[in-house]
Amino acid sequence: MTDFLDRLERQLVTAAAVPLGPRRPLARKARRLTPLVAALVALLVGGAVALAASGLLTGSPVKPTGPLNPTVGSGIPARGGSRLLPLRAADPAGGLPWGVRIVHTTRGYVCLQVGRVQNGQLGELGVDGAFHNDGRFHPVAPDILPPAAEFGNNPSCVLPSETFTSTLFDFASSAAPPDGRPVPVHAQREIAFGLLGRYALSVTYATGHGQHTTRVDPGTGVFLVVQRPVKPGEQFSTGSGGLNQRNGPRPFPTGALSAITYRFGNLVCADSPTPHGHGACPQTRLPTQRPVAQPTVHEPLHVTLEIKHRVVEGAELTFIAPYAVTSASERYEIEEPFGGPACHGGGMATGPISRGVARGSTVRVNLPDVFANSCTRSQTITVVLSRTPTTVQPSTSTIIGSITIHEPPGTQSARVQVRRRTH
Amino acid sequence: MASAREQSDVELLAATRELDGEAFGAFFRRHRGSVLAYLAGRTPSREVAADLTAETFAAALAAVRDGSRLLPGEPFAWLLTIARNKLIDSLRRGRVEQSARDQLGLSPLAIDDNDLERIDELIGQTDLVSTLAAELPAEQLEALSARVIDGRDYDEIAAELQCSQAVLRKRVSRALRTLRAALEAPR
Repeated sequence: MTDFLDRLERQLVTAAAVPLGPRRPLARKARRLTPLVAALVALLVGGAVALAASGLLTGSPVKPTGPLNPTVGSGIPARGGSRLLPLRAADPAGGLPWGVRIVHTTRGYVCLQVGRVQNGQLGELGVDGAFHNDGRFHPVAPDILPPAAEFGNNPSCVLPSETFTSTLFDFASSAAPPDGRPVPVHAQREIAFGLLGRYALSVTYATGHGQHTTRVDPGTGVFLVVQRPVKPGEQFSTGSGGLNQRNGPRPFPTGALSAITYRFGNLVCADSPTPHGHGACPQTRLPTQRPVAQPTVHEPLHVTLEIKHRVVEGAELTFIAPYAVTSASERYEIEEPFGGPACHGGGMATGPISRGVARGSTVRVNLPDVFANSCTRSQTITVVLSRTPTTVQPSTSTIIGSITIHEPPGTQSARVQVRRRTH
Repeated sequence: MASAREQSDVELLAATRELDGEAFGAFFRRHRGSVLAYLAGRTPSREVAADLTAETFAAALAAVRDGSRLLPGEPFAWLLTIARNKLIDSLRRGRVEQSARDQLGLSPLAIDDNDLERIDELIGQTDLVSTLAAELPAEQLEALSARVIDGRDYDEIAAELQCSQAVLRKRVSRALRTLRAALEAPR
């Protein structure tokens, strides 16, 4: 008997072994046009081309990518918190320029959103398979975040104290988010962008013909570079992060970037892969910090096991929040140490609760596989309130409480090997 | 000649481009568990995860057979990128697309209870951490190892690595982001 996976494998193996035939038509065969219809089409096409010279017809707006929550994950764009920067980058094939919108979210993140620009609006183009190739400009409303936002950690979003660079290798000239479909070679774009902070002056990047330098947006340090892939075939994004302060760590120039130039007072210097050369910025030297004992508030934690047919299928952790969480710069975290001398290896499973929490409210956390990594039939769970420092400073995390639970006799744990999760 | 089991992913995909169907079969068997585990944690049902898995591998095959495209240098990371994009696409459209399967002429496959049991079993056997650890840059792996595997405090690690806690947390966060992509969601 074969199962779904076997049948799928057989389908794929068969399809992989068949030579490609002539490309099948995607639509019905083109009919011969009557002279009247041909004349109308010529008029319409001519009109569209004329419009394209000064701008594209506007199509339907880009839809949000999911039900976003203002107090969860990245949050949603704050009212009036989106601003299209004056920065523009030409597309290698011409047409509408590329631009960047800076978006402040309800959870305190600062996000960058990249797209094509027409009439002061950021958007996507109906080309190369996007929007059924309608050739139109599809505006992205200010209340839409980059598409990864619904998954919590958005690589285009940082806290206000942070800086970052990012290079995306899988973008298309349409500016529509990658969807896994092959992008024609002529439409492939390499997008380098980032937020470098107030001290940044310019970035230098590799092109197919050498090095090129472009200025960043003054004040924000936002930059944008759009080009055809310098190294075709690169698939994965890369990036680096730092802090927006004079003596703080700085993003390392990665991906397309070969140097980042700053002005610190009278000092103009650059970070590059050869950090000790002439004109290099001084390396950040951070004071050695002594470990500081974490304060503890001893808030009671409660765990309720969900047992079905003698199998522990999950658990619910509840506690009363002694502190409010109002932004992404602070979060409750669940820490579950596992392993130890009696086990094979050990470590700490950590999961942040990436949402806002009201002080005094009951926090409920689902722990679907609470004993999965325990080899002693018990598990210690610790709740920590963690605050991301805005400058170089000691940790400000606080232990809220801790509890050890035991697997009841006669039960077994649902078998899951490893877990990490965002609550 | 190396057997399919001994060949690297890059070699398997190169052979696939030369119409070696069994090579893609080996690539499928090697990574089907990881793709399923990644998708199962983020979709409302195992049926949807299975459907997305089929579309992911079909899209990968269609891309490999497109001679105008270079083959990926990191096939597993590339495959997970396709899976992630298929997932995003399904969320945007409210349904699982089958454009890649249509392109290859693959018919939809029915899924019964036995299939779901097999899928559960395969997901349970998949250790994504060791698989994905190979994808992390050294600085992220170092930070993740110190914090998550060794269970040390942020301030202690930051002092040792001569970086701020903010940077350290970001490294751990970025590393976990990669790992979480396949591990975090409820099963």
